Amino acid sequence: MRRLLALAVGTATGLFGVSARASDFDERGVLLPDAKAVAFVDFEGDSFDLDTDYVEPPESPGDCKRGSTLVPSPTALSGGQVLHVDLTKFGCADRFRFRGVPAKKASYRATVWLRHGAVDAQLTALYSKESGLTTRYAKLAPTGRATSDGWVELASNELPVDGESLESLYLKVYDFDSVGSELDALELVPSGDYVEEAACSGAFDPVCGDEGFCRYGRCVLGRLHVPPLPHPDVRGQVVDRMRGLFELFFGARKTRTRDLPRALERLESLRSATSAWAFWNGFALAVRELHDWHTRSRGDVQFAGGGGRLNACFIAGVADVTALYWPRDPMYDDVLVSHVGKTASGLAQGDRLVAIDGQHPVAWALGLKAIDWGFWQACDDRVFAEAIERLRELIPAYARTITYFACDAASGACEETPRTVEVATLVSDEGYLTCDNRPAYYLTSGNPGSDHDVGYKFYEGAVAGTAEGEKIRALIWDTLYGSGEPNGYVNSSLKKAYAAFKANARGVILDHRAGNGGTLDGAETATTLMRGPGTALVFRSPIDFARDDGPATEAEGLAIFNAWKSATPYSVGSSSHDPALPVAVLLHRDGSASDFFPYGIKGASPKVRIFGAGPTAGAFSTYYTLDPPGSLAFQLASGDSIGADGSPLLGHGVEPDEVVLQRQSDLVAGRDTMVQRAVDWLRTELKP
Amino acid sequence: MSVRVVTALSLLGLGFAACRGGAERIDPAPTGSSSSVSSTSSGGEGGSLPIVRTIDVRSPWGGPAENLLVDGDFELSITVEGYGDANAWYAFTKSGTATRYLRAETGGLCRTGLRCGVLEPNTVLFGRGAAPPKGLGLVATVWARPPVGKGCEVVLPSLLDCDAATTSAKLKPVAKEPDASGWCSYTATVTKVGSKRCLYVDSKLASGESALVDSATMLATDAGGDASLVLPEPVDPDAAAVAQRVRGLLPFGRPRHDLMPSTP
Repeated sequence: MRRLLALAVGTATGLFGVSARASDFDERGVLLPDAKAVAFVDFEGDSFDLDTDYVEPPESPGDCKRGSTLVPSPTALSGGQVLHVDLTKFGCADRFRFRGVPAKKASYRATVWLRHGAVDAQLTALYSKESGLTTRYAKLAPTGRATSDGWVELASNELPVDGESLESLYLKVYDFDSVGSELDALELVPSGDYVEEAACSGAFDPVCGDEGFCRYGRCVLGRLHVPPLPHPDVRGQVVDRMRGLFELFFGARKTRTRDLPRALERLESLRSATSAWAFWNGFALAVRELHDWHTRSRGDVQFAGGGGRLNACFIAGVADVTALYWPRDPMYDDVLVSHVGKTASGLAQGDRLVAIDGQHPVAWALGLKAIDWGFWQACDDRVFAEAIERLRELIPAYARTITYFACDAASGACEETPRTVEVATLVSDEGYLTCDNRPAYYLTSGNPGSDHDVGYKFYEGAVAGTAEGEKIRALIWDTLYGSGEPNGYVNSSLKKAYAAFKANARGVILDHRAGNGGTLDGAETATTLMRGPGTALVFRSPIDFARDDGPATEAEGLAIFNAWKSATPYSVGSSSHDPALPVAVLLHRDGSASDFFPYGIKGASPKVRIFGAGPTAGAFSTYYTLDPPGSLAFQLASGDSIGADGSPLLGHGVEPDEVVLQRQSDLVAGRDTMVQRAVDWLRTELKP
Repeated sequence: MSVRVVTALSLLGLGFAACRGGAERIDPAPTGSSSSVSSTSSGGEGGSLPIVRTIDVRSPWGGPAENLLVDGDFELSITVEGYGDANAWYAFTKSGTATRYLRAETGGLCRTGLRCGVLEPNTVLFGRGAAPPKGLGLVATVWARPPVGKGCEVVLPSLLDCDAATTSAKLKPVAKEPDASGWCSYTATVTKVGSKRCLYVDSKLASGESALVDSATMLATDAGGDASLVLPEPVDPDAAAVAQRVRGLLPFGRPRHDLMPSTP
């Protein structure tokens, strides 16, 4: 009987990690530190000194001040004092070291109890540069244990620590609000086995095992970046809740009928997960299975391993110079280097990336779904602009080799044989380069900088290479975040530019090729230059009726449109628009409000023409951001938009009036194919 | 929503909410008062030591799974101050002119789950949700713990049409005074729900006071013709303004505040 019991306990511990909990409580609710703990800090007496146990930040924003104080508390979990954490500046944190960590290789789990508010907490093992070891940390998150007097247990998963080479092992913490939080009963307990940090190559290198993956040439232990496996008593409830959120609130006609079932299947598999990584990465993968532009899991794990990005940006295009040497993929566009910054590892504008680890770059990027927490996909199945935009960060993190055709701007020629280089030899970015799908700028003055950081700014001016009398002007911008403020920065900037166009331009380019969306009013304002008033669609987002799959027929869609066209319209155009002014709208990677904007002008006038590499993302909804306690968050798209014809729109991007793919020959020569084509069209339509 | 691990005598009569107002916290137990636990003992012969606290295991994600409110348990809505975006709960000044930070309380101070919302004076909470599947009505319930000495009427929850905000239904307190644990429940049942519903929580809190809000649910029901059904009422203009403001804030784009890489 005794043997059976021991076996049962051992199995439970192995299966559920969290069962190896640290402190416990007696029948009165008095905390009992774990006898195996190598450190127990109750923030009083000899266990802690606020000054000498404080660790200076290894990297600091500069003006951080310690925000923790010791506060007497008769309801302390241990003793009569707690640590009150109240950092005043975001980005700052306090760090307190563990004393007496054994000088040996071991693995530890940290727990601490939190009361009031919320904190971000992590256990960090800091090594000196001379040690050659990578500083590693494990995030703390609630285990589910809570006390009647307000304490909540936070715990990390097991962190391997080389005590011989350790500079410091400490708790890093910051609070969320201006009032602060209390911590007590910090504990460090040996748990698990020491795991050497292994070198690896390629995202799925088997050397990293099932509990991790390869990033930047080092195995990442997944568990360090996710919460503990939920306590077995409530694990089913957590999965039920995840399932409820998906089923009740997620999505629209397309994503609910096609993608949701696969995600729910993935969620069900979590019930039998046996590790924290399997559980939480499984959840994040279920989120990604929802196949939606807004729907993303976000977590500390997406930054694991540090590293940087290539100092080069990629864009979908047509490789007209090298087509003879490497055939075009039947499914995906060619991938070209759009522009580069300094130290681009030999890559140059116009180069053609043909393979990553032997696969087409898009196919390779999509294949990372199982471990890439930054995975980003359009709702429209035909669109891959998001994946291409992210290649510069994915390649150094996950690839072994890239294969590309090198081109030379001086001669205008490209090599006939592709080069294959080891990713490990490439240099990641120095400085900051943004990928905005604009190979070059073309205003006569006032262009964005060489970092391509258009972001939340607006750039307006005359188009270079056009005659003064043609009065062809352009606006370069990517944000539609009007925030419901008609006179706010975004709406005012658009109105000001449009007023100038109506007064002084004969043709206009609206260059919105990294359309990040924003709010509905921003999209509405963007349509006021070129069309009369109308209701383009109604937005029923977030979702109206729980579990609703949206209109199955045109009649159902029309009924929704008619019912809501007064209450929640997307009101486009203006009676003061300029019907004689030709407007060329340039798109490339656009979603959400940046879907609404082109949808609102599509076909509105022969004087408006949309140029794009393909459809927009088709992300016709808003979303919920959900922040569970711990080191992850996720966004869940919710609802749909219904067009005036009764169509549910999500998943169906706006088709350009003219498909224009960037030509490799233009890139090598430093030309922007789409701008060239837009100018050509405007010249045929100039306002008298 | 919770699984009791240590079953001990309840903390009845402990006078939980000694609210100190301002920036201070709601105290979970009378500070430094041995009498706070002396009325509760572990039994046995005289001289037995008092129960200090009980311990539960609660779901960090809240529930119930069928809740038509996205986050009625406040488990998924607490952000770093100034960095919230598209969350399931918004906090506003009363007229909706400015957003406020939604603070949280923790653990057993909350009715369910690990977190609950703190309602402060001149602040309203706006909880977002969906309508029940077509043809069904819904039962809305929310729990609040008023400041010590205040009755349940100090918290004023109502149900709004999230978009149009033209009608509302007030949630009535089940009792005038808080129950033995200090909590009040409020409820309403509505039928003919034609579009998504949100929960609006106002209060008559005075300066320096605060209340906790937790365990808010909207659950589908096929009940009809019930005499207790609450008829729609004209919406409070402040509530309409808040709903309008929420609509203006709906993000249709990439989040402005993305997760930042951790530093050592």
